[in-house]
Amino acid sequence: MILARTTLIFFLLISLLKAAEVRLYSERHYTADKTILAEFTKKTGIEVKIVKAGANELLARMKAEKDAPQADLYLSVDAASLERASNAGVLQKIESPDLSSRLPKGFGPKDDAWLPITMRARVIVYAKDRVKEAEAPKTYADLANPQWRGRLLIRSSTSHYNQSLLASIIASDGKGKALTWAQGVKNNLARPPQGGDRDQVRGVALGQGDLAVTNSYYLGILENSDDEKDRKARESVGVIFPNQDGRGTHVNISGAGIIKGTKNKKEALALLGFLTSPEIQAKYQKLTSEFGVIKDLEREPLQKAWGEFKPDYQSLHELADHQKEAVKLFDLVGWP
Amino acid sequence: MIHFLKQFRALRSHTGLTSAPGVIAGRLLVLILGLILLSPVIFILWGAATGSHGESWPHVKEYLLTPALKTTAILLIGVALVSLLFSLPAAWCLSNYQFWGRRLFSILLILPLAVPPYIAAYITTEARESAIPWLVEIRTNHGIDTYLKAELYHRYAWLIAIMASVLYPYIFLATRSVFAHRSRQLGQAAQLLGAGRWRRFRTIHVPLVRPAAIAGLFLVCMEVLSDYGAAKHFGFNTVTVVIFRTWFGLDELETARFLSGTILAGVLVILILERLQRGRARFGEAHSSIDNLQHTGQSGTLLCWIVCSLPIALGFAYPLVTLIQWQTEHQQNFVLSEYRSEIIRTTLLTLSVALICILISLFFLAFARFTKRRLDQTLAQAISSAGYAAPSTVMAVGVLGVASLSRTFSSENESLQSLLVSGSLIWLLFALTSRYLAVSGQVISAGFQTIPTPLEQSARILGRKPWMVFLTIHLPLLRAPLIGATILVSVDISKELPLTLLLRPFDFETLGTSTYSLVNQGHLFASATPALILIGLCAIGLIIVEFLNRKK
Repeated sequence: MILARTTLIFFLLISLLKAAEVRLYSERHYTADKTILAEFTKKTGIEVKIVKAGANELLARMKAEKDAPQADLYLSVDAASLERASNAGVLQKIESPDLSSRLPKGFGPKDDAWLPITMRARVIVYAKDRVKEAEAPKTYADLANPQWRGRLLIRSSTSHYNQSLLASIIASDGKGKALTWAQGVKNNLARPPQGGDRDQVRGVALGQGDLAVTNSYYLGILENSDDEKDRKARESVGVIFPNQDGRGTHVNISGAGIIKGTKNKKEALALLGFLTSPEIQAKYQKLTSEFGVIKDLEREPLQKAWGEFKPDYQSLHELADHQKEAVKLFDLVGWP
Repeated sequence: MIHFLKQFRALRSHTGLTSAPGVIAGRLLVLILGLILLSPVIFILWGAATGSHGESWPHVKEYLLTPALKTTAILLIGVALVSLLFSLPAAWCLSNYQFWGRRLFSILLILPLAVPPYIAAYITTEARESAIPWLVEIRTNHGIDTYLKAELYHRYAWLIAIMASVLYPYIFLATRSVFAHRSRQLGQAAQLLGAGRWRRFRTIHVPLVRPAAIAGLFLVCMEVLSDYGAAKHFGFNTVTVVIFRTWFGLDELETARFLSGTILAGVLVILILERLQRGRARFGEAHSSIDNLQHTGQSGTLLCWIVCSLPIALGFAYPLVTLIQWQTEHQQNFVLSEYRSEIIRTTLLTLSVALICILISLFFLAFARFTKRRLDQTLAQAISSAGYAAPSTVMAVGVLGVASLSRTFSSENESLQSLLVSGSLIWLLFALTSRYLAVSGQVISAGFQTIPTPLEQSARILGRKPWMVFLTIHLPLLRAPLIGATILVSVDISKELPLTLLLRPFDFETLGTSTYSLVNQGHLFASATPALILIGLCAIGLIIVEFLNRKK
């Protein structure tokens, strides 16, 4: 009994002494985040605590903790994952007119379930020495063209980036066309999918394939790499933002949601405000080569060199609805 | 005859534990402890057995399962064969021949255990890329289908070789002492009696080494089966990858649970079958001196060298050289203090789990030893192995479920509740204990088998109580296996990823999680620093074990 009481007093004391803090479940493994979060603590005095793991693992943990939530904010790198967390009932509405007014109209989710922080585009790269710019594919649909048999590199369908890409195709073209597309792409693979986006670009540089699909910021990472091979790989490929004459290039969001039942909502909102401030948005662009999401933000020189592009905002909020279907289509065509 | 029976009963009552209340109380304690330790696994199996598998089950069965089973079988058989090939000849050479460098090799051969399989997998990236021109040539000259086949074999070969090269020490460690003692003595005796090489091999060495080899092989196969990082990085859809795809991609935890429950049950059946087939055969180990080793000639030395250095080169030297190269070429300087908190956390976490594992294993095994009942032995083994048979991430879900349940039951006690929140270190310790009990169990059980039964029978006949026998005979004789178990469990846990990643408290980075997150964001070169520290620490631990064993 005495022991229990002492423990209780001990915990109470600790909670009194504890400084303001915000606790994150984050899927983002970038070193830049460490710098940015340290800056936040320095500026506001709010401590940031963090557990990093995959989106699905974190969702499992949040679901299991519904009765006693441990974290305040959930950071993910996939709009569909954020939507799934929201559908699972572990997130609460953000409801901050200040925050939503920073975004372009119609960009954030309709119900304020989460807040976009950065954006990435899924682009096509081609080997400049083997593929002429005029012949390079201009749309995602072109990737399924039999002329590319044995020449295309793309990562595994376990990646959320590919699941969301196929989900966006289901959303705009329907299931039948999406299936044909996935089959076509699978037939064109130069090797069974392996490694991350960056390995695909390196594969093109090494001649294993002539085309690859990658997220835009990986090109920035390769360009800024301290490994000469990476920089050379980046130099050897040309970049295409697909579907410019149609619905636009598939983009995905890295964003955050406030976890239901948190005691630190104020601090969580403060962090979201900080992350979507013009200064930090520019910093993200510089450090991670992701695109900032707020209005009137100038792109980094490195990003400007890729050219202006039209993003597909239309399908962005339908990704979660089609994700499961997308996975099944991948299985159907045997795209591992 | 009756007289003989009476004598036999008297002897039995002195050697086995027959005081019924004690046995029942002990067995009850074993069961309760087992139930607590296995609660995550039970949680998963219960969910799989009561809930129906999700609506995607037919889809999974039709499109995913068959190819995944095939891939897993190829990897399992491949890694098992290659790791036997790496471990058995080397263990044989070290325990039968005296050659220059023998002592050094006996340490080096264990060191690959210090390299986590996922790090070993990432390290091959550059080497595998260097084969691309050759593959491209095949594509231009022989067409796309030949190329795809070559590409597939190339990847299988790399993954099997690299996994076997970091996992074979499990078999090596288990079989070495058998070769060194019993098998050599009996082999020499048989040779004197005129048995030929093949006959000695078939009738003496194989049956004697089998239990140890299978115990080691079990650990190797479980590592391969539950691996996620390495297989996924190589683009192989193993059964574990499919479980995660079902859970994460198709969002059906129930189907994933059903799948892992089935695999878990399968593994347990195989274990039981092996035990039954081995029958009641037990091989006590006599202590022998290792001074009458056969000296090798020049060609023999060369052969021993090749046999011993190949696995070391692939499993330890290659990863180490690559990491050091990444470190020196791409990192400005090696700052140990930057990773101070990671080092402290890794050490404390692993040692405390190791201690808990050992205490529990000791209790289980000592109890089974005293009752001399197969039931108790099987129980002890089943409890220790079941946690190891479940894929880590699924196990983590089980632990989270148990955590949530425990909070419901303790809702009136606030201080207890605040201890039981998920993310509390307690659950991480619990999960790791429940999983790595298998390792301490295997090592200590092997240790118990080396203690000759006459020793304790004499003590019991002389009136010593079981716990006195345990303290005065077993414990001192188990010193080396205990230290061995501590370090092996610690090494295994510092390499572990999914449980630590998922269940850790806030701001809790270990060397393993730091390495992983750097690799995950594509900073291969930067990951060299924590990876090198991790491998270094594990290697030091393993070297200590080796020296302690020698002193004995």
